[in-house]
Formats: sequence, structure tokens, C-alpha cells
Amino acid sequence: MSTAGRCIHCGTALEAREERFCCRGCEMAFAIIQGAGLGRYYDEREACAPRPGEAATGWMAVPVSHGANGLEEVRLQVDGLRCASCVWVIEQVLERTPGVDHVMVSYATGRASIRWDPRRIDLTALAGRIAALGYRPRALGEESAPDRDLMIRLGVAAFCAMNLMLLYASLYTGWFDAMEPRFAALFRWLSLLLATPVAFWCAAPFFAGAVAGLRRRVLHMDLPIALGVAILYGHGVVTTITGHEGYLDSLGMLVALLLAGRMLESRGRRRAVEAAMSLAATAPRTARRQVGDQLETVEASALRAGDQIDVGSGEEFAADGVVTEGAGQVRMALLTGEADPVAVRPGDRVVAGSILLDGALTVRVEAVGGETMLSRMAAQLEQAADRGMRPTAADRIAPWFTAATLVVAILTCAGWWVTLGADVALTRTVAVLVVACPCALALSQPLAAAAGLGAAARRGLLFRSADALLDLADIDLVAFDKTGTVTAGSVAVLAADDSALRIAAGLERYSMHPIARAIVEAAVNRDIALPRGEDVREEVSFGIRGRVDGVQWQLASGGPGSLLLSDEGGREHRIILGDVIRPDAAATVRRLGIEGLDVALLTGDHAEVADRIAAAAGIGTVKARCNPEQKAAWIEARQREGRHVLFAGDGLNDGPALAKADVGIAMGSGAASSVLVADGVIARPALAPILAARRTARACRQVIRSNQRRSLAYNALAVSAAAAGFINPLVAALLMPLSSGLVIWGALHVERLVRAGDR
Amino acid sequence: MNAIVFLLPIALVLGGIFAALFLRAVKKGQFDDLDDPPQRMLQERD
Repeated sequence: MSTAGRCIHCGTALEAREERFCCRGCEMAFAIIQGAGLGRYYDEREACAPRPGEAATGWMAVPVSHGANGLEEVRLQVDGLRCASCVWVIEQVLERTPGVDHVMVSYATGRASIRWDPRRIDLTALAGRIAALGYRPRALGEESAPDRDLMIRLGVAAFCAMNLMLLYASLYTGWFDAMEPRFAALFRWLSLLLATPVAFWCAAPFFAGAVAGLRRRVLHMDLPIALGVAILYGHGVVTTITGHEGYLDSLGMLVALLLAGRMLESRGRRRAVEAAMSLAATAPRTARRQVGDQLETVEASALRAGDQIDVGSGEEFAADGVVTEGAGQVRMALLTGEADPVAVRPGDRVVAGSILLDGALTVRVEAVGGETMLSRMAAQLEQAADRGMRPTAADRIAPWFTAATLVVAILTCAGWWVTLGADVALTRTVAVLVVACPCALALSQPLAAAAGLGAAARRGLLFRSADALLDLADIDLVAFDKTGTVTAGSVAVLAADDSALRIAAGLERYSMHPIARAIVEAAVNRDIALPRGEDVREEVSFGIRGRVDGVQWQLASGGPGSLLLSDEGGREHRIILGDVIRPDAAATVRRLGIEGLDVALLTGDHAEVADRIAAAAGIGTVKARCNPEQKAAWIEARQREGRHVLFAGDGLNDGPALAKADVGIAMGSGAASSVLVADGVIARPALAPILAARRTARACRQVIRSNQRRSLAYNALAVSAAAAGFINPLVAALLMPLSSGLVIWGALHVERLVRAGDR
Repeated sequence: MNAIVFLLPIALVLGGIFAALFLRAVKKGQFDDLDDPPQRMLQERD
């Protein structure tokens, strides 16, 4: 443990008592916060701030919306929010920035909406200010508008249903205690008036769904619902004219309940999808283009083949091209799945989306935009991943259900017609069709699914749809990608003495370089207090020199995957860099084994590295040197053997496998395109969410099955009763909420079942 | 019983007012984000 202080801003341990900050970034952040008079933040926050890094570039290319008075507005994703105080400090700092009109940051989603005056400040400066505090702003892609339509329909349906209930309650009491006929008539006509918008407008989504289903030649759940609504309303019109009670109150309640179920489902799904999409959002790229002797910063899309661009250390390539000058190490993990950096020299090809780890290059652009390898691979993936709509379990029941209802209705009608005549036959047939309306059955899936999506999301796995979540329950084989999935996928310190790490961290603590940050990270993790580095000088494509404890040290490359720390006296320490397995990988693999699942590792890397990682994680089956197609083929071969395969991966090269697997899960830190083709995304840097999501899927399926059994049993009972003539509007009005309540009560069990498994 | 003729429309109109208020709130986006305001109210504002 440290004997001395900690960085005021980020809490990193520091050796020298008089030092207040670990790096210039934290010092700047502190100055900004104090300068805005927000020092209170440091007293009130519940968690230390993240260390400031470099701001993403390319903000000039982010589309903004233009509002009134020439103001501009944008929505951003802000990463690194740790407590409510983070939201407060970002909002306050920005609000006190001249030119900013309005700021709103959501803690739950990390969305920030900012409105500013473009004549006084630009987005690059605003994003830079957020980044200077230690948070990471990113541009967002397209966003879906919140679904207010369902909510409005639900509101209207609920209002009408309540009033219908009131009117019908008096009509029902009128049965026992005679009501004046003119009032009864008034009540009936008012009821019809209230039921009309419910049947025609509120229930419109069900009619639309039924018609769309018929067009695609599938009978899904909306069809029996639409049928039920039509019959209820038609019967209501007839009875109102003839002066009897119809089922109009049941109609109102039915539509309101179904809309509520549908809204819950769409809300749950939209939240999960949006969270997944915001993980896929990346800042657009810019490039520095040579124009004569000058450099100009342009959007990546403005580049043309033949342009010369400069790329500095830590930057991402904005286009495919050929190196013309300089040297450096390039990391292409997201494209190829290979974690090891590749050294490039003039004449070598580089591709957009890879990152220059160190060095400086001049690149002649050959392909930009949609022509780059990255874009072409992403486009192929999107085509491969178009899976179409899969029917839900309820939809599979729907055709049988509809057929059975119609058969029973016809039998009822025919049976009573010959025995008691047309009048009785019609009344009882209507009763059959009314109680057969599968309200509870239609609610059984969406409610449990919404609960399941929420439960999985709280445990770190975001699913695109409830079906994908439910498929997880059948999985018996889990295949992992190596780099970025089982391993952390970034440069990390594999091995180093504490003393060497301490000195290296002292030298590197002011640097923004990825390797420097990995070294400081390792020191912080081992709780080594950072010493002070003096006279530190970074030298491009050599390393870093400086004094620590009065001794002159230098830190430079020591061959592939290692750094050499040496002093003037010839003392040398080696720091091994590489990819480490995720802290929870071994435990997750073990747990999957205990639960009876097989685990495999699929990687494009050499057998040696693959075996080392597999051994560390406890994975038995290893398939090394796979290209993307081979991974997908391996999965397909297992599927042909009857296995249900889950594949988790992070790179663009994992796309085909993600699309092929029964359930494809992407790492949130991975390539944006892999997030887009996957069924689910892990939102944390961990593998354990897969376990929790699997428990959720099983709980969800269990609840859905028992809900379906309950509602089918209810329907069977109610239909028999109706066919026998025991159902009248009053009984129907009592039975309907009872059956739906049973299903809602069942859905409440999902979270409880999952929580029981958490322990 | 005759009072019903007046009370019924009044009840419907009152209910309608609340329904309209609800619809207005939905349209103004008050139900778009149900997670954030509970967090927000715990913070002091200047």
C-alpha cells in the first residue's frame, strides 16, 4: 500500500507526498473543475474519476441538428460515468463554458444532449472539454425515436376501458335490480361510443399485425386477437341495437391489457438494442493530409486515392494505403484477430481500422470509404446476418389455436342449432369466440420476455430480441474467440518486477501512448505508488528517457513483445507485454463445464499461443489457425452433429461465426460491425454475463412455458363452459382479468428465479 | 335516477380531461426516460 498520497482527481497512488496529481491530464481536469467553482464535486462523488485520455478526433464530421436562433444540437454517448456526481460535473462544466446553451446528461444511458452556439464554440472543443475531465465522448449513430404511439393508444384504451367498466357494472347490477329501460339504453349506447375508438384505433396494431402475417402466409398471435376484437365489437353493435348486454367492457380491458404487454415488451427490447448500438458507436475518423509542406485535417470521407496522409502514434488509419515513409508497429486485432503488433516499413500495406501503436508514418492512400477492406468486410457481414423474422413460441401455437377455436365454434353452433334453435346457438357461439380470444396466451411471452431482457441487461448482457435470449437456454457448446474475448485484447504487462514496473511507470506516467498507459495501469493495479520522473523525454520510435530516484533510465523496445528498461550502469530489466486472459475467464469456463456445457477456443493465432491461453482459461478443445470462414465452418459442422452453439467474439473476423452460431455474442469493446451482427452484446469487459444470461434464459423459458400452460388451460376451460352455455357477459368480464392476472403474476417470477441463481 | 343524465357526461368530461393531460404528457416526452429523473432529483442544483 502507498505510504503517501493519492492523485486528487483519479485516486492513483503516488510516492512523493508533495505531489498532488499522477499526470498532467488529472491536473488539467482538477483545474477545469476548480476553475468552474465546482470543487464540491471532490467531496460529494462516490467514485474516483477515470484518468483523462486523449479525446477522440473527427468531431467536425459528426452530424449536428440545427435548431432555432442558429444554435446547433447533438446527442453523444459519454463513457466512464461512475456515479451521479459525474453527470453533475459534466453538466456544470459545460454549462459554464461560454457559448453552451443547454446540457443534459443521462446517468442511466450515458447519453448527453448538448445545444450550443456555433459562432462561439465548436463541437471539437466541447468534446475535448468532456474528455479533459476523464470521460470519453463518442458520436452516436442513428437513433430510434421513443415509441410514444403505443403509449398513447394504451392511454386512450385504458380511459375507455375504465369508463366501460363503470357503465357495465351498473348494467350488471341492473340485472338483479331492475333499471329503467331508458337508462339502460343510454348506458348501452354510451358504452358503444366508448368502445368504438378502442376497437378501431387502439386495436389497430393487432389488425395490422394479423394482415401482415396473412400476407406472409403465417398465422401469428395477432390473428386470433384481431378475430376476437372484431367479434366482440360486432356482437356489441348488434346487442346495443337489440337492447341486450354485450361484451364491450371485456373488449376494453382486453385491448388495454394487450397494449400494455406489447408496450412493456417493446420498451425492454428498445432499451437493450439502444444500449447495444451505443456500444457500436464510434467517432468518425479524420486524417491529416499533406498539402505541399503543410498538413490539413480533413474528414476521412474527403480523402482521395493518391493523397498522402500522416499518421502518428496511437492513431487509427482512416484509409487503406501503402507506407511511403517512416516505420512503426501496427495493431490489427479487430480485423484479423491477431493480438501481436505487426512492424511496418515503407512499401508495406496498411488498412483502415487498424491502429498505429508507435512510430510515425506517411501513407499513400489507395482506398477510402466504402472501398476499404474494413467497409467491404462489414458489408458482407450485414448481408450474412440478415436472419429474417423468427416466429416466437406463441406464434407457433397460434395456427393450432385458431383452428381449434374455429372447430369448437362450428361444433357449438351446429350442436345447439339442431337442439335448441338458432337463437341459443348464435349466443353460445359468440360466447365461445369471445372467451377463446387468447389474451393471456398473447401476454404470456412478451411479459416474461421483457422481464428476461431486463434481468439479462442488469447482469451485463444486452440482447437484441427475446428470441435470441430464449435460444440461449438450449446451448450445449460454447465457442470462444481468443483475442479480445477470452483475453482482454489489448496491450498489457504480462510479466515485470515490481521495481522495474515502478520505474517504468514513473517514466511513462505523463505519456498518452497505449503502451505507456498499459504500464501505468499495471502499476496502479499492483498498488505501486507512482514515483516522480524527472527530465523525461519521449523519443519517437526509440522510447523514453528520464531520471527516477536520481538515476538516469531508458525504456526502449527489447524485441517483439517486450520492453527493456536499463540504467547507465548497465542494469537491465525486461518487461514482457502481451495479451492477458480476462480475470473471470477461467472461472466462467469452469462454471460452464459444471453446468454440462462443452467449451472450445477458435482462433486465428498460432497453436502455441492458443494452447497457452486455453490452458490458462481451462479450455480443452482448441482450434488454432482458423480464418473467419473456418470458424464458421467449424460451428456449422457441430450444428450438423445436433449441437446448439454459442459463439462469443469481438473482431470483424468473427462476423461469419457470429452470424452462423445459434447465439452470437459480441464483446462491447469489439469492432462495431461485430456488435451489429451479433444477437447479444456483453456490455462489460468480462465473460461472466454469459452465465447470468443463460440462467435468465432458462428462468424465462420456464416461466413462459408455465404461463402458456396456464393460459391454454384457462382457454380450454372457458371455451368448454361457453360451449355448454355457462358464459354470459358478466362471467366473461370476471374471467378475463383473472386469466391475465395469472400470467402477469407468473412473469414477475423471472427476476426472482434469476436472482436465486446469482447466489 | 334523472341526475344520471347530468352526472354521466360530467364524469366522462372529467375523465376525458385527465386522459387528455396524460396524452399531452406523453407527447411532450415525459414518459420517454423513466430511469434518469429518479437519479437526478438526488442531486443539488444551483
